[in-house]
Amino acid sequence: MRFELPRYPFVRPTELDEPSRLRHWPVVIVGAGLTGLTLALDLARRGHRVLVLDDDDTVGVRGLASRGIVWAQRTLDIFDRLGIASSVIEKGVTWNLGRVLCRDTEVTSFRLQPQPDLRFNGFTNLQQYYVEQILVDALGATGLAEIRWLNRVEQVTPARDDQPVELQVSTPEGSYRLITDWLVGCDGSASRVRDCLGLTPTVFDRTQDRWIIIDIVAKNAVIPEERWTWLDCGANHGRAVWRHRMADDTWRLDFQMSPDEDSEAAATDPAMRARVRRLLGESIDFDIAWSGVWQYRHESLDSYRHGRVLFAGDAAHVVSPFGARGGNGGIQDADALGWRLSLVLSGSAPATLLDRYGSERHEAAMENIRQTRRSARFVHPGENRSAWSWREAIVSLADRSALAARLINTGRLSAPAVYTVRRPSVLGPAPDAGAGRALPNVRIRGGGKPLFLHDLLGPWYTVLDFESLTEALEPSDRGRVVAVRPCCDEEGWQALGRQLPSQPKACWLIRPDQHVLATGVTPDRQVQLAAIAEEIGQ
Amino acid sequence: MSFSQQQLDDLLEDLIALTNIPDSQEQVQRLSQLCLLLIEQIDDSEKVRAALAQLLSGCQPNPARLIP
Repeated sequence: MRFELPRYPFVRPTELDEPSRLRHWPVVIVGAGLTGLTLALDLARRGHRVLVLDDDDTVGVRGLASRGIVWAQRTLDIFDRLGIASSVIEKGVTWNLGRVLCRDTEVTSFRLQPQPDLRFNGFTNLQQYYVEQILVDALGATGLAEIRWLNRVEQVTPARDDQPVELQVSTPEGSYRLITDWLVGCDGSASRVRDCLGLTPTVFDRTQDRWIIIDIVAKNAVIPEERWTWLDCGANHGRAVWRHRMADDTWRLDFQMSPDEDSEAAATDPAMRARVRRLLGESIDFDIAWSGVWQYRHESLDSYRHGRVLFAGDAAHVVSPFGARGGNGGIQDADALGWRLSLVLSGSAPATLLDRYGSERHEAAMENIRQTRRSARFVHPGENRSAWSWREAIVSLADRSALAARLINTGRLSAPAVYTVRRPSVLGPAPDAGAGRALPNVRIRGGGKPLFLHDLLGPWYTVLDFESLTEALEPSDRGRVVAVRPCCDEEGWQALGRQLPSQPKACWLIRPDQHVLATGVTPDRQVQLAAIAEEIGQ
Repeated sequence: MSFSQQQLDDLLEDLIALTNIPDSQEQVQRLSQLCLLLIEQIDDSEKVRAALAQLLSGCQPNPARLIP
């Protein structure tokens, strides 16, 4: 069944009828894509009014492009915090076996399941437009967010750091102005907000490597529910092919094109059908759900905060899709920005807290770019003769050398960022092996209604007390303190020992984005509160 | 000590950099030197001979080894 993208109606903004009244919003997000919607949902759930502007009137992009399809465990944990993980998993496809083929022979494989200690498995596949639709629905349910479809930002006038930003917005029925305390550009790799500010990202490379996506619905064939990546597929002129299953029995087939191939000719219906049949067999009957030719590049803004304008997702950084680090990275951006922006909006933290968003996520983007450039170069060494030589050596040895097989790089799958966090000085020095890491969502109690570690976390900072045996929740204005041991059954306590980055001892201070700020923290509540105050710059 | 995936990927980066030079003679020189250094580090004739045998299995015997 072919999915029809929803068409969201244009609603005439009240500003058009009151041009003299300059309406003031606490925060405006430009771009109702993955990152913008995730951020909006986070802010709305924290009690803030949010305006989202989008120049389109649907989710995904026109033409049913699914773009991102693989959602990583960390993304599912973030979605769980935002209350939408179950919808994504219910609709999506969970895969567990990936195979890598060289010269049409399997040389290595990996399993992502089962992970009985954790809340979610490694990855779930779902077309991006479904994820965005789930986000739109969840956002509507908050009653605090307004999404304005077919509203295009034309001009951004940033004032001084201590003054609001003015926007000029065009719609099918005219233009209007508004002002906002904070503007977040989540408007993709061709960001209008970025252009308005005259910002240019640093481009690390722009490859000539071209691919054609042909998403198909197979009518008469059973394809194993596994992720296959061919590095040099005989059915694709010795070039790479990716095969993933998505929802609605749709398969993502992504073919690396030959350098001399004509894009238009390759995208014709007969050419695409011939290509699919070469891969899956002449007898296969299928519908083409979507197709498109794409290229990739790696780029990033040098700073993600420019006064009262912030950038996230593809507007801030662009990576090649190897390893699913684009969409998942954008969602981690939103995760890192939401709580900080909320604290600033409510006057609980100075605006400098947002600089840390910029530095942490820039560091994460650089790591993603570093990883995806390596994968991209392995798949397409281009002019690099040395890289070609090593690739050939590795591929030729891969069927008999486990080490060579492990060197095959068709994408190192998205992993949670590890932030360089500064231990609050009030805590004193201590070895801090787990600091900066995302807290694994460990199953701490089994039974009919299992309990997970993230269930213990509050919306702000949380102190996990691993020593106290007294079940006690101590809410405060900045967070909560939870005694972990009484919440665990014996199996759960052992799972914590296996999954946490260091032994569960003393107290751990957890940030609102579920990343560990510090381990080995004193049980003294006053010191813990002082550490939180220091962290947010109070 | 076994390699983590990250260490392996870093290693490949260094290897590509090692041979990323236009002069193919120089490239062979560097690879040869790397082989010798690794052989010295491994210090295990059986392992080195097994690896060589793996590569040479489809080749003609080395004439130098046939000299009585």
